[in-house]
Formats: sequence, structure tokens, C-alpha cells
Amino acid sequence: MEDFEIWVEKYRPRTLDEVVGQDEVIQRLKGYVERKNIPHLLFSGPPGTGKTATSIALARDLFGENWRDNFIEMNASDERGIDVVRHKIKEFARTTPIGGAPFKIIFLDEADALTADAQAALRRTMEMYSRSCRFILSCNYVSRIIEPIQSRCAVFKFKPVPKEAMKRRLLEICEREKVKITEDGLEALLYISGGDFRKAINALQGAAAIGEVVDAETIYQITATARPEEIGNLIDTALKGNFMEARQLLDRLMIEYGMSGEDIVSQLFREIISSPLNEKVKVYLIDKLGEVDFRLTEGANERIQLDAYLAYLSSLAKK
Amino acid sequence: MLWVEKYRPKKLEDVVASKDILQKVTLWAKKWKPGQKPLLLAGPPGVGKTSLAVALANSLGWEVVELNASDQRNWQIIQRIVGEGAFNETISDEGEFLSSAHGRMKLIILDEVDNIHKKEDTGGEAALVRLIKRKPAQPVVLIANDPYRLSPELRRLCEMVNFRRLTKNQIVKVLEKICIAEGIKADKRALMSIAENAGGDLRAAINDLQAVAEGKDELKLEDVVVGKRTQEKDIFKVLQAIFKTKNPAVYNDAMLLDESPEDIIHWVDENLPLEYSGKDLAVAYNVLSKADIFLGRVRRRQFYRLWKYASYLMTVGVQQVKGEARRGFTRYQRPSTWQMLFQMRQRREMTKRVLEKIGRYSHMSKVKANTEMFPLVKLLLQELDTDRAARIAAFYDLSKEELEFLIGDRASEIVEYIEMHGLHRIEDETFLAEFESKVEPEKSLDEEKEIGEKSQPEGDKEVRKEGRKKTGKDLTLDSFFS
Repeated sequence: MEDFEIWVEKYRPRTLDEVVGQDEVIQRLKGYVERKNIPHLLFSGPPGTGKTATSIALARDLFGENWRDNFIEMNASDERGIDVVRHKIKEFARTTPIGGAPFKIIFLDEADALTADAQAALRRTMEMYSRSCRFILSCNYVSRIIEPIQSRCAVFKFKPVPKEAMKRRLLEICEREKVKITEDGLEALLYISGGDFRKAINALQGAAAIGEVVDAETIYQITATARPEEIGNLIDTALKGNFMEARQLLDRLMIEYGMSGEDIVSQLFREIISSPLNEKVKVYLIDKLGEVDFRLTEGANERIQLDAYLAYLSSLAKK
Repeated sequence: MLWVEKYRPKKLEDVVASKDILQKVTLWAKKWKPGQKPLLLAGPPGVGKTSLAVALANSLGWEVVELNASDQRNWQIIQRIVGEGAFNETISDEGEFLSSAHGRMKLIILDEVDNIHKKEDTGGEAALVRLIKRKPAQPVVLIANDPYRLSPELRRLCEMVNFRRLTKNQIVKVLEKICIAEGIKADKRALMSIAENAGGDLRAAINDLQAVAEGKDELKLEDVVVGKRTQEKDIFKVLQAIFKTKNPAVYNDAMLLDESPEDIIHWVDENLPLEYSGKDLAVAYNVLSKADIFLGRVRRRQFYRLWKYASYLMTVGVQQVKGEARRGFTRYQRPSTWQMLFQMRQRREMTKRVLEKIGRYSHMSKVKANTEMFPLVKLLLQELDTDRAARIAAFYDLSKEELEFLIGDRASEIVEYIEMHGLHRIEDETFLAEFESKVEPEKSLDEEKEIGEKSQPEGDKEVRKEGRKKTGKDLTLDSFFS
């Protein structure tokens, strides 16, 4: 096997049999592999439950060595608009499947990021190429996919990975990587993951990189340092009423970390939610933050909107 | 006649620019052939970008077609010239096509490319990218003030030449020449003062010189002081009126400034916390953030009539909030945003590039790569031993520059290791990178010889037929849906 150093890549399932914790889904998919044919598929489920990995494994099982030539992966949230998606699909669908495969597979990740209009266009594209291509759409919520697309696809629901299955796999990884993990470390890992495999494996690898033994403390530490502590600092400083100082911190985040306004807002959100502040205060802060976020999407200036937010925070100081 | 036109350099030798710029541009032109990258001249206004392009064409005996890329009406013309590479057509000053028997080369200069609307379907940046990709038959020069407003794709398609602001001495030299040509005896200190005031913008300097010196025999230092640009002083007055008084006339004063509300708002933003505090500060910022919303609407939809609301809110709106003005003199600061802007864009650009790579190789969107993988990758690159860190760097195909951005000094150690051990991306995972380049079927596939022979890239139709035949035979899609 290849020599991956990023564990989520190293332990990504190569075949459908290796996919963990989605037994029902996998069984049905294996039926397709036997028949050497698939309909359009719609994979829905929370992040880190194996939607992408399953798609790739399915392609490998169907196409063997030639899977790469007959499989294309696109990201609805990255590709700018449906036109780009359509163009890429057209290019890809133009040529015959390679290696005797009866069709090619187009995997469109985060399909629920497309607007309803874009989805309608996508539906037409799906029809146009359905002779030579199969689509696998992946999304977090089926309800955000328009019905005409749903009705054309076989829908597969991915569930959060069950604790037992995840535990087994994590212990397997620990053994292979010679990582010492304590019982409470494992529990912590399962807890923070919330059924998200990627999160669990990433936290494990991060924790293993900073300490000899992985215990609950290192796990919590690693999930906390995953966001820059400056964000917490920023909020504290502003809430103490030090506007000028807070603004300097903000500038540093934007310049040194290259964070965009949207990045900062989403980090602020996470930080405020999990902070020990009074819950009633949090509601105000989040309400205001939502307004800032909305304004940014409307094209407002990030510096001014965030300055205004910090000023609001520092005005709360005396209460 | 405007002096800036009258004294626009005719030949390359007359252009004020650094040697490396001149060399780079000359080389580009000399080795030009269809399909070569267009030139992107980037830099602040008034430093001679257009002049250089025109002079270059003159020196080589090329014709010049100068078009403003942000003007929608020009798009058909641009498409015709750049897109179809009409060899035998030339264009008159009115924008009409003329036929020219002699097929002279035409240098197509597209000005203000950083101002084209990104969203438009016709015209717009995407169209420009398409045009360039079609390998225009005529040399093309793009001109932009801020290259970082262009998409990375467009920038990659061009050869970028960066112009810096001119030095005072460079400007004074030009001004001296003009004075001699106009028969004006000029005090050098006067010219220095103009140059200083121009802030590296030669065009502004020449305009200022013309304003104070035209028709005179002699230019003295006193003449210049009167004509001096007083912008900054005025903005300070407006700031003072906002922060220290409650006189609503400040709205009109602000409108008279030679600065757009887009700029004024940053002045107010920068200095607001020096004057207000506590509740006043929060309320004033609330008003200012609303002014900004209007600016955002103007930026997005070009509804310039909305500017007045922004202007009113950022001046009178902020002014009326205060209980009592802070006493004493306040030294107002220039907006720091402008200084940070360049640096900020560069870093964001870098982050974006790293996220693109992580996303591509770990099968996820940039947004997800940012939240799910980026912190871990950074941590591992910092914490793991060189061997493993290098393998990760190689897995994501990170460049030295990107590694430096992520982990600072350790980057060189890792890059060295990668080179020493010949690490590179594991090809297995690159399937989604550039499938376009791989559309030709591999000829070496033995069992597929039959198809391989038929589906040459040129035989597009045949491929399709082949595809249909196969799919028609094997597929039972309907059975799945019924």
C-alpha cells in the first residue's frame, strides 16, 4: 500500500468491504457491483460518514484498475456556478469509458450547495448524459435536493458511524501506528467525533503528534488548538472594553493568518457558543454576529463590520 | 492640449521606468509569437503603464488598439479583434473597422482589466480568460492597478510586470524636461515640491505642473504652494467637524471632497476610536456599519445613487451620536487598511492555494479543507519528524513558498529533504486534477485496442458513435428507475 502520512488518507477504504459502519448501504451497493451497473445515486448524511470514500471505493470495485479514468470528482461549493460544472461534465462525458466500463461516474460533492435553479439545470444535464454517465450526488440533507433529482436517484442514507464500529477501527489504527491510547482518551475521541470518522482520525493523529500517550486531555487540547486561540483572546479583550487593543488583534488575524472576514466570523461563532459566558448574553452576541455575517455576504466591508462588532462587544463591558 | 498627452513618450527610450521593466517588456515583444502569454502591466496610477505599452508598439512599428476593458460596449470589438485575431482589419478612432491591406501587427491594449465585472456573462473576466485561452493572433497587453483583484487564473495566463511608484527624482527630471521644452525657467525647489505632492504619480505631477506653470516664463516656489493639492488637509477638517462638532454642514463638505465615500469611510473608521468610547463608540460604529452596507450595495449593483445615504450616515450619522466631544487636539491617522491591504491579499491568496491543494488531494471543497484539514496539516508539518512532515508536504504538493507561509523557517529543511529523497506526489490520487489532459485513451491498453484505434481525439464523432453503441447495448438504466 502507498505510504500516506495523513491518516485519513492512509486509512481511507479502498474497497466497499473496507467501509466501516454503513453495513446496509454497502450491502445494497455490492448488489450493483455484482450486476456491473448502477443507477444515479444520491448519498446523504452528516460529514465524515464515508460518502466520498464510498463513492471512490464503489468506482474501484466497478472499474478495477481503470477507475481513475472513468471517475471524476467535483465540488458544487468550489466550482463557480452550474456552467462550470456543466462544462466539465460535458468534457468528461464526451469520451468513451475506458477499459471496457459501460459508463463513467461523475461524483458531485456537496450538491446541496447548489441553488434550486442550478439543481434544475443539473437535472437536465443528468438526463442529457445519462446514456454514458452515472451521477453520484452527495449532500448533508436530502431535503435540500429538489424532488425531480431525488426521484431520478437511488437514495442512500449514511448514518453517523456507530460507536462500536468506530471504536474498533480506531483501536486498529492505534495498533498499526503504535499509538498508546488510554481508555478515557478513546472515550473522548468518540465523544468529540459525534460519529464523524474524519474528525476522530484527525484528532487522533493530532494528539499522537504532540504527546507520548493519547489521553482525554490531549484530545481536548488538540481539538481546542485546532482553532487559533487568538479568537478567544479577541473576544475577551473586546468584552473587557479594550476596543483599540481588540482591533489590533483583529488586524493581526487578518494579516498574519490571512483570515478573511467570513473565516473570522465563523470562528467567532464557534468560540462564543462554547465560551463560559452567560447564555442570555450569548444570544445577543450571536444575533449580532449573524447580522455581520449576512452583511458580509451582501458585499459589506469586513474591516468596518468587524470593527463595529468589536465596538459593540466593548460597550457591554460595564454591565 | 494637455501636457500629459503632449509629452507622452513616443519611443521606448523616453519612458521613465526601471531597467528591468524595460528589458522584460522588450524581450516579451521581440520574441512574440501567437499563443504567447499576454503581458500584464500592474501598478498604481500615473506611473506610465499605458505610455510604456504605446511606446513599445511605436518602437516596433506595431499599430495600437487601445480599449477599455471595463466598458461593456467594447466587448464585441474586443472579441472580434482578440478573439478572432482579425489580421487584416484595423480600427479607427471611432471604433469602426477599417480594412488595411498591409497586415501590420496590432498591439491590443486592454485597460482597466481589474474593473471588469466578475459576474457578467458576456464580457467580464471569464470571457477575457476564454479569449486569452484561444491564443490570440495579436499581441495583447492587459493593464491593471491592482492585479490581486484579478482571478489567479487570469494572472497565471499572463506574464506580470510590476510597476512601482516613481521616485521624486525621476519625476523632477521629467518636469525639468517639460519646462525646458515649454521655455519656462523653473526653480528646482518648485519642481521638487510638485513631485513630492504627487506621491509617485507622474501624471498627477505633470497635470499639477501645467496648472501652475502654463503660459509663464518663470516658475517660482511660491507659485507651487498655492496650487498644492490640499486633499489631506480637507479630509482632516471633515473629520474634525464630524468628531468635534454637531454641525450637519459636514455632509456637504464631505461631498465636496475629492474622495469617494469608499475612502472617507476608512478615514472615519480609523479615527473613530480615538474620539469616541464606550456606548458612543458602539452606537457610532453601528451607524458606520450601516453606511458600509449602502456602499456594499453600490459595489455590487452599481446603484451610485445610494452613495448619498452612505455619505450622510458616515458623516452626520456618526456626528450626532456623541454626547460630548472629546476635548483637545487629536492627531488623526491615515487608514491602516490601505497599508495592510496588499499584505492581506497576498496571504489570503496563499491560504486559498493551499486549501485548493488540500481539497483536491483529500477529496473535499476548499471550505471543508479549511475547517477539517488545514489546522491538522499545519500542526503535523510543525510537529512531526522531517521525514514524515516532508511526506505530507509532498502528498499535498506544497511549494516552498506555501510551506514557508505555513511553518516559517522549517520549510527549507523540509524542501531540502524532499529534493534529496526525490519525494513527489503519489500519482494514484491525482485523478481529478486535470482530466482534460488525459482524455485521449491510452494506446497501450492491449485488450482495448479496438476502441483505442477508433477514438483518436480528432475523430470526435466516431467516439460518440462508439460510445452510444456500447451504452445502448449494455445499459438498463430504465429498469432502475421504473
